[in-house]
Amino acid sequence: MNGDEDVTEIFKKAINEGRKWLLEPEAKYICKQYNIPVPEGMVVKNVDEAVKYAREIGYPLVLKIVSKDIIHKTDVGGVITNIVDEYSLRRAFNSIINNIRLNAPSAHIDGFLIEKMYEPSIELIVGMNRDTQFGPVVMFGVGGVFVEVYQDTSFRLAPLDRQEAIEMIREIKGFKLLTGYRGLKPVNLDIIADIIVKVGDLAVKYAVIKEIDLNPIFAYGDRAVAVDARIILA
Amino acid sequence: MKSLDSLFRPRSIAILGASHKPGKVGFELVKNIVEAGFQGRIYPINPKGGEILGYKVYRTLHEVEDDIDLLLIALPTKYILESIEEAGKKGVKSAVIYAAGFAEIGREDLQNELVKLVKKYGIRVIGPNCAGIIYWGSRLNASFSPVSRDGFLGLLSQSGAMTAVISEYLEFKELGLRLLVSYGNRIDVKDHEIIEYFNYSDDIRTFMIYIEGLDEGDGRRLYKAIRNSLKPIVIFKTGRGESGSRAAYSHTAALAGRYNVFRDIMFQAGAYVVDEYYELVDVAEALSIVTPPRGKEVAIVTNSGGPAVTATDKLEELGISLHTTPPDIVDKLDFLQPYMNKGNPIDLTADGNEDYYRKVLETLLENRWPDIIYVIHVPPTFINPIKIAEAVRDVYLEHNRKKTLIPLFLGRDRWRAYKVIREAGLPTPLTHISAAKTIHALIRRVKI
Repeated sequence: MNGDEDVTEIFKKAINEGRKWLLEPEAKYICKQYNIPVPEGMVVKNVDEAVKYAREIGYPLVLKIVSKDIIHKTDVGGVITNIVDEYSLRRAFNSIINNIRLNAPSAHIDGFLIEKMYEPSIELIVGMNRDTQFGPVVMFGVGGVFVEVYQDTSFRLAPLDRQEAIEMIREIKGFKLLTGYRGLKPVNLDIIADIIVKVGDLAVKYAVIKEIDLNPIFAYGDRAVAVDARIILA
Repeated sequence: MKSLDSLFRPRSIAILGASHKPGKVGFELVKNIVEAGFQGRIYPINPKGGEILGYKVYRTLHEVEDDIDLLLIALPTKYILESIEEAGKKGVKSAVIYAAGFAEIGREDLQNELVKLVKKYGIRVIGPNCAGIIYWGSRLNASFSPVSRDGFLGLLSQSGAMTAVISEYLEFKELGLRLLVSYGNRIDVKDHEIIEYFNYSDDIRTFMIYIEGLDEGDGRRLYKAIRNSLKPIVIFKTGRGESGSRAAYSHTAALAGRYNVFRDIMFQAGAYVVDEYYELVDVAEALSIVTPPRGKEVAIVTNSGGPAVTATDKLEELGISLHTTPPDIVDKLDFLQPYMNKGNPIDLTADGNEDYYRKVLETLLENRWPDIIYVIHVPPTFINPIKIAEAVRDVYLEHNRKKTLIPLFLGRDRWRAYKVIREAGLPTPLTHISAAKTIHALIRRVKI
């Protein structure tokens, strides 16, 4: 089975289940198929599987709830970061289960996403929205939790090429952050541009995708990784 | 889709609701058509018959034994549907509907009926709720807007009143419109079609677009038309309040406000987006007439500090920074007084008379640096700005307009000075912001 068939299967499954959005592991799987870097990770059913996987990839780790009933995971205490050893991994597991019982008692738990934790860095956002006037539009900007406060973004029609993606990166007010501001490593713009171009390609190829958020994307000198991915369906 | 020839290059025009009474819409329209010197056949229509301005008046459209390319409907709202029905049966190719009273006042039902009829007969329509069209290329003035002089600009406007505002400023600057399309509710012919239709017509150098909103799916068509356009396009858009979808699941949808998206995508297409109507005219004028820059290096020549700093600020806000005058050019400026700044801005101080302006401009025009010369002048009491303007004009023409030059004259007698400036085919920006945006727009068009 090739990647495109897999991707189509993911959409079919979500639609059959009456979901308007993809689970994070599904969204990240699609990213991987399109060479958009996401953290190394795995969906586990229980704490023992988690511990076993942790021994393979090492700490620190992030643990996230996977549930078809929960789209805003952080709001219900479904995400725990900075898990440094087996003891804190077991504790994180229990915390998440308790949090869900408390905050979303009717939610069904489909599993847990366990991922390598990445050093905090410059946070960027790459997204896509289907506009009624323009069709698929790609967004780039300063990401993170406060993205809607700063509103430091630029937009382009999809599909777009690498040069246009570079232009939209240069256009934001926070562009200085990427050029080696205050001892931060300058970010290789081609890597970010690649992600933007691919998000545009995804939007053009799959009309079923209504919105995409890759937020935050941690950017380090020559590397970038989308630590959260959200795909909303039409 | 039928070509827009029948609209912009009609061979015959009929005026439904033509009137014998001066001052009435139906009379003024006939008068405008006649006075513009339209070369095709003209058929005023009114059940009373008779004659208007020497033209025989037909009682009905069907009485006219000729094909009608363009029908102007100078009738009230309640007669519009039946007029279109009649026009359709007659085989009329295009029409302008002036009457208001459709979607803009909540009568979507009426507008939908109109759209259905228009599609049924395949008539190409401008309006309703519009001020009409002018195209001097075929000596056609089918509008009520203040008649503009002929020129090299095209204006597409969603608002009749905004057309009047823009026309007044054009008139003030002694600029004309080659084409005016006031399309009001824009039920049929769209901006992108007009841009495509006139793409190869050399008589229109730059398009100005005043736009309030786009219909579903038209954004992408407009994008493509602009991308393929051989002419510069300058856009002023209102209706910025519309934000992205608040109930959105994603940040992207929440942040994708109508205006942000529109502005960025129009820039992506290659248009220049301004913030108000004077800028619209100033930037469009400049893009039509200036010598395009070969690079992005800007030098300011000024006789005063404040205006120069303002210029630097406005350029910086647009991401354009000035570099200091290269040493070889500084050497060549050795004729300046020691208290005159040779850096960038080059500041001649209040002593900067026409000789200094002339010699500095000569130096900048004859050497490699810069690509764009931004000349600022604010006259002190003992300097006659007309003399400075004449020096700028003369030195620029003597050097065959070989570099981009943007003048900004402010203060006393500026519009008299600008008259002189215009003789060198130079633009006449109203403000620092207009001048900075002109430079920004020019730099964006530089291909490196």
